[in-house]
Amino acid sequence: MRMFNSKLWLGAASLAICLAPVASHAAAVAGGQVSGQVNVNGVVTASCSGSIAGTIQLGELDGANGQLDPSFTTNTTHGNTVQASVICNSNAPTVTISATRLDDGVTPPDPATYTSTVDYTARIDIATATPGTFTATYPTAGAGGPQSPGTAIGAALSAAPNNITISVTSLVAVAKVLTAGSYSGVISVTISPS
Amino acid sequence: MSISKFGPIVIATLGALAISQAASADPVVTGTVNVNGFVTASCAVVPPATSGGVWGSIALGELDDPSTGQLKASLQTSAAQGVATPGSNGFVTVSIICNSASPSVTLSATSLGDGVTAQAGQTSRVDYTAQIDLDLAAGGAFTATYPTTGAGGPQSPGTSLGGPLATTTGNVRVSVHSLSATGVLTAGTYGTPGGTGGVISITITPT
Repeated sequence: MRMFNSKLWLGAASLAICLAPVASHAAAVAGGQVSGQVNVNGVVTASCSGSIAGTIQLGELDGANGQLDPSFTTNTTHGNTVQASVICNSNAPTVTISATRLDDGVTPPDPATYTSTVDYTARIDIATATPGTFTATYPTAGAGGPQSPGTAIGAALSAAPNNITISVTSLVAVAKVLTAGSYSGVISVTISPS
Repeated sequence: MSISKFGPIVIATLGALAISQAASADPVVTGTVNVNGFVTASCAVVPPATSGGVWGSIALGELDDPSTGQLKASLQTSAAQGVATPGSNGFVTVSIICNSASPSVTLSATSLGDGVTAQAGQTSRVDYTAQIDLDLAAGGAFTATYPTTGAGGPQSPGTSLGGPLATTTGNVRVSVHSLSATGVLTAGTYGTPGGTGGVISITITPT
């Protein structure tokens, strides 16, 4: 019984709320024309989206003399490339690239004549809408900033798939025997809308 | 009762707002690409050995003393004997690169023979000691020897070098010394080619 009364009370309240606008509307019509405007808005947050991940496999690194195979030292792409699709909605996205040198974690038995690390240049090629390609590189051998030549891509990204290509070039030869082992390094990339 | 029914809805709405804020706070794409390669453990002759893996030869010349018909006394010393090619002063010299911290070596050798059946008081066999010296990165050299007279293991004193090889040119030298024979040497060509034996076998492995 108490529950029935409660429902009845809620019904009455709803009716009152509905009647009020009807009464107001009737008054406005009675007073003449009604002018008004409705603002519609939305927002698109500056952003970049997508996924960058993969592995570049260089294979056997040493040559006949136990040192870095000279074929790796050219400024062409070595191993496979990694492609990714990134969408940015700004006209001036930026990129940051950095990388760690290849290392097999082995302590060189004689540091003067053996080495366990190999430096290289990490490279990112970004297709732009202009169209064109923006390239940034990061040599692990050098110090300096997190990327080269700079962060600003200078144009909107192409909206085409696989607009990002990451590769490895220019491994650095040293006159030392590479220790046997599995070498690994990491290229880190950040693409932001501004 | 009514408040508790709407409670979960309120919580769910707040959760959605939190996710929305997190997404807008991180509008960048960050990724990593792994780069890898490998170096297989190996040892190699640099430049590569001649065909058949023969590193060189040691020519001992005339073995017998003409006055006695027996092995020359000068060949019985512990000094390196013969003319080595490539190399000098009795040492066949090669360059070997190993990329491991402690390679090992195995050495064995066969005695010299001329294939002639020896009569009483004669011999067609000449023994010797094969020796290999391997320069170490830490300085000094590791030496292994193998006397063809004796039985025992394939090398002496052991297999592990105990340290990395030096990477210098001509870091490995092979020689023979301490020749020995009993009796008058039969006339003939001793060792390969032409005779029998006279082969020093060496294996250097990265571990």
